[in-house]
Amino acid sequence: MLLVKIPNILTGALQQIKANNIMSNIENFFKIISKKINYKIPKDHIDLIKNRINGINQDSEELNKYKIHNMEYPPKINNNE
Amino acid sequence: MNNQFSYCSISELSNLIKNKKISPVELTQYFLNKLESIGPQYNAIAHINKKSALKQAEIAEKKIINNEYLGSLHGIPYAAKDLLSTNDGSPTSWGAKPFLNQHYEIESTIITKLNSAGAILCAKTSMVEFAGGMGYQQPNASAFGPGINPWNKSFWSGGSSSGSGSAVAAGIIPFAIGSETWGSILSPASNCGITGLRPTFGIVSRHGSMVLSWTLDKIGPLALSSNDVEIITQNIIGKDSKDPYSIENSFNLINKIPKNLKIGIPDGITDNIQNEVKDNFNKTLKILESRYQLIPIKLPDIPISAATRTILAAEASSAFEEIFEEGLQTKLNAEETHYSSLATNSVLAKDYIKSLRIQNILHQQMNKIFNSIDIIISPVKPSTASKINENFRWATRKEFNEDHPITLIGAIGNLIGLPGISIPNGFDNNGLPTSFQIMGDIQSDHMIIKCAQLIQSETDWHNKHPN
Repeated sequence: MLLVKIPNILTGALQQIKANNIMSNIENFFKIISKKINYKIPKDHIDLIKNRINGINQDSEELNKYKIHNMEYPPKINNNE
Repeated sequence: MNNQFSYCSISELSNLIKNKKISPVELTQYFLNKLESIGPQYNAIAHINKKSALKQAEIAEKKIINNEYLGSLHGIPYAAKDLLSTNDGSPTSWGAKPFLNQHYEIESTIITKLNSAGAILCAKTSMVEFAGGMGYQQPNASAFGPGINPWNKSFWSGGSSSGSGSAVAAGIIPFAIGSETWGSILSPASNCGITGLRPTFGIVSRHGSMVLSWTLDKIGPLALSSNDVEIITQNIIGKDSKDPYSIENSFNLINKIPKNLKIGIPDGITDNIQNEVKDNFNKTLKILESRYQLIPIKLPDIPISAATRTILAAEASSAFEEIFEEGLQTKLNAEETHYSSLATNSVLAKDYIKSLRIQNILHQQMNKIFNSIDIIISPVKPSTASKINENFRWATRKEFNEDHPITLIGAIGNLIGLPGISIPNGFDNNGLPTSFQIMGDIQSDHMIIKCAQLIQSETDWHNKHPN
């Protein structure tokens, strides 16, 4: 039973971290944008903004999954060493 | 109403002018009348440049009388997407209400080139606000209303070069210039059943054009056939010192179909698409298959769409910085973009840079693919035109089917600036056009035009026009 529960806890924790990151990205966005604009954002547009930011975040996650070596190619393994 | 010159090819009109069967002034007046009387039915027109057009036509006429014939575009009327600046007193509105009276004192290089070739700029065509850079989700995202499809007025002409697509398909102008950052030439060409070319990035100068994305924007022609597209392209390409992104071109060096043309066909290209799009694609394929080798290909498995979207969002946030600061985007037609467009400011610098690195990697991977093939073919879109009141929601990642090979081809072509041509290849059961795309490697513009010409020499779809 314990072994079955651990993956769920981890999955749940990861999902919570992800949700927290998304929320902090959204909070950060509103902090940043309030310094760039001097007009208010109506409440009924907040969800549309969050939706767009979620989309940008999803793209960010997808880009993060794709690893690129510093020099674009992985280092060559020298078989003579 | 007299329709004698509508749907004539550039060559047909050109012969009439060269042989003095019609004067540039008469022809220009004919199309000005069409633009004025019919253009509004399709929300196709941003501004008609009547006075300056007739003045240009008079100059063109004098040259003809003096036997100073400039070439195939001499005296041919055309229209230009309203993000191309002109200095003839007409506004350049970018499709956006706050800029309906925006005027420039510079002339876009492409306009200068066309004018030097003797073509007559008659109108600026309507477009989606800021070429779609705010992330619109439905067709009514223009100061001029939704682009209306001449084949069926309940359907969209496509975007963001909506007016250019509608005007050519409606026969009210022989050709138009559009732009594409991601789909904005090929989509209206496809929806409206005409031929459109997205050229290799950099071979057509962007000087004088509104910027949506420095990395992705291209300017190209929409016309009735690939023959016309060939003539127009010849006259608009060229390195331009005023556009630091412009490059030399090899348009006249690579101008034939290779004898042993190898045609790349991506795995799953016709999966889960509209039946008529699939059937018509397969029928067009047979024309090529009877002569050339088909080679199945796998498209690169890297986050192409995510990279393209990231670059687009980041660069749009910079391109429209002043607009956001002043809140002008809150005056646009597409209400869903009034504040959501601000989200483009949340793109992380590291993601933007990663996306540029992915662009480089994609170049290398596509180079390998093009070592074994010459062109890639696909339908332009998985379905025909959407309805005028339909929310297609491309801006929202979830609803955008980015894994489909058709979508990937669009992303690949635009991310690394490959040329692509859209030609009509039939209709669906609603009478809406379907389309076929040929994409080539960098600088293979002329070769893909020749491939399109081959198909159009054996089919008649480009000669079908809405009533």
